Amino acid sequence: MPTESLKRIMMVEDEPDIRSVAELALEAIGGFELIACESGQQALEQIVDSRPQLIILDVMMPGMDGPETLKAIRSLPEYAETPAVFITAKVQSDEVRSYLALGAAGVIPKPFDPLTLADQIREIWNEARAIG
Amino acid sequence: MPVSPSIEVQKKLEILRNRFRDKTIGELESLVNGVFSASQRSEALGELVVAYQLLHRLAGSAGTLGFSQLGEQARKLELAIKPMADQIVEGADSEQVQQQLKQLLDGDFKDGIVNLGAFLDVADPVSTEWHKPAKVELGNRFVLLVVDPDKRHRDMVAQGLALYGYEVRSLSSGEQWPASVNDIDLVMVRDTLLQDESASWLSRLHKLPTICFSGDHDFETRYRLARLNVDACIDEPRDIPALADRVEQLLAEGLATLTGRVMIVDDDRELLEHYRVVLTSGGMQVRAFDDPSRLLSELADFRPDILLMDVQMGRFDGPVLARMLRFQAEWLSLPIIFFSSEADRDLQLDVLARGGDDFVTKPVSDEFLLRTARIRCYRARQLDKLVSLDSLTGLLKHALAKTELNREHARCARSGHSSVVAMLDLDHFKQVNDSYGHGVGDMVIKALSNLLRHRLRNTDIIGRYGGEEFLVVLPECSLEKAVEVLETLNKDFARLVFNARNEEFSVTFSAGVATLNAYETGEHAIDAADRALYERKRAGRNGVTVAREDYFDS
Repeated sequence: MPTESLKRIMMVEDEPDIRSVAELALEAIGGFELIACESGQQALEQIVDSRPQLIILDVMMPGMDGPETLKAIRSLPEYAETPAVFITAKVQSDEVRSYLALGAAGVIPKPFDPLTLADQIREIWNEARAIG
Repeated sequence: MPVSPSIEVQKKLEILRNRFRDKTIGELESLVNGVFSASQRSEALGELVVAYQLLHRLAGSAGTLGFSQLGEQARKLELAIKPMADQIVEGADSEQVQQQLKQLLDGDFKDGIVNLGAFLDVADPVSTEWHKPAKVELGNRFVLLVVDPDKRHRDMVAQGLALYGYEVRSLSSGEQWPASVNDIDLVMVRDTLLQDESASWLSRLHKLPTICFSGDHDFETRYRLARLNVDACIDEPRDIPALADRVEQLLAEGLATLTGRVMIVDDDRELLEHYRVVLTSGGMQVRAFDDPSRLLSELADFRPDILLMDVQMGRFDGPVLARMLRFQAEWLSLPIIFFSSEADRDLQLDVLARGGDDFVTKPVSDEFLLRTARIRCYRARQLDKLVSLDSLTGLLKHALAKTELNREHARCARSGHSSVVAMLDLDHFKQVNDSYGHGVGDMVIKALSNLLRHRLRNTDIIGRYGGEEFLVVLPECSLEKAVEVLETLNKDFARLVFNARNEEFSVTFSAGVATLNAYETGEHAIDAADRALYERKRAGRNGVTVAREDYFDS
């Protein structure tokens, strides 16, 4: 298994409440460094400086939605294979399938539990590392 | 595993929750206004789209912020107005949409949106904290409702069960039960209130475990109560320990089916991810992976209740993997369920013979998958309990309690935290058995174990060590805190009134405590706690004594 451990995570989420909870869940509980963005646009602007190892995207966002944002990120050569995780309130089989087809490493249903989010992300990361 | 967040994290979560609550109160008000004006003026129809978006947002976020009931309710309402919101966006005839909305408002929907705000008062617990014996704010305690016209009865039940750490609310009739009060975990009701079967509140009993106070033992009455979805009957609520026992059982049955640990192995990654999401959103804890060669290490790490596996995965054969797992005594009793695409009975029988437990034929519907997993986990846990738990008390058996204690001793050494071990023994227990019989003695033992289970944290280790002797380990706990907790338990247990042979009596216990990590081995710590217990007995019983060695050490 590769030894690279997960430190920097980028989260793209338009809702400020969820961003704050995620900050707590991933920084205070999970011990990660979180770069929280409120839109796909902002994510694209910040991604080069912040160099995230994993990206969490809300599916439904005004303007650029999660899948569109991921497509744009994937077009950047350094981020063509960065593990991405979608969070979504709707869980339907064809939907999950379509996200995975986009190259997502996992899907987390909403509402998520702030106390276990970090564990879930870590698990997806280990999974993605083991395969990739 | 549930994590216990630090105080600081809890505080921050609390702040975020309060902020969310304050903001949402205003949003819900404008939601109600918006929906009403959309129903009255066609120019305002756009408000309905705004309402839909808000409900969708709440459905996704409220649960994360600790208001899962609000989230679930918002999801229902969201689905109800989605067709109309879609039509408005597509530019459909506004009169028609308005008509639909009016119809919707004539039904339950109106109450639904007006009452949404009430769910902001119902927050989920943040963590596993000490259960406080009395008057605490909304915490992670079970809420029981007692409905009885006799005030004396109501008060007795409320006070008695409060000692076990339950929050008890009381009403004199079912009609007084407001629709907004829906955080009840269990209902206790007097049989006379169930006479009128057309009463609308009776339907609320269908979803909740229900205990009926009824002295009628004839077939017709009992059958009628069962038909009304009553789960248990108790003659008289005066026997509080017996009542608490029943309450505990019913609540545990409900809980066990909700959670479970499932491991899935399938080499189809998309399917795997789908299973994972379905089971996770159904409240299960899931570990899913596509490489069977990781099976052993993942099992050891995750320790699932059940294992779901594909029959054929690349070069690996599911049934062979199952047989391989059975090499290890540890996994002998792990239920293994196979997914197989072919409905070939012969192959399936062959697989069962080689160490699998059951089959699920692909494709599996989401609901079937979730139900199967839940039932299997529930059964697996029941079986596991039979093996490792004491049958009378439901506590850990002697040997297992000791294993857990030694594990905690090692954990202390590793991480440097402090934990406490306590030995508890009922006072003059022989007299109870001699004067009232062993059945009553058993009831006393059960009462103490129920009390311990309720009032200690989920992470504490509680074992039945001998006949009337209990072993308790409190991980990450100071000696002072442990003494405080045990002394409170000691007082509350002494206040429990038992009934036998038309007599009322109460029982006390003695306890000896020691700091687990102050001793070289777990065994030594137990001995020290035992000596402290013996000293307590000599000094007059009914109380808590700290091991002498602990004073020299600190």
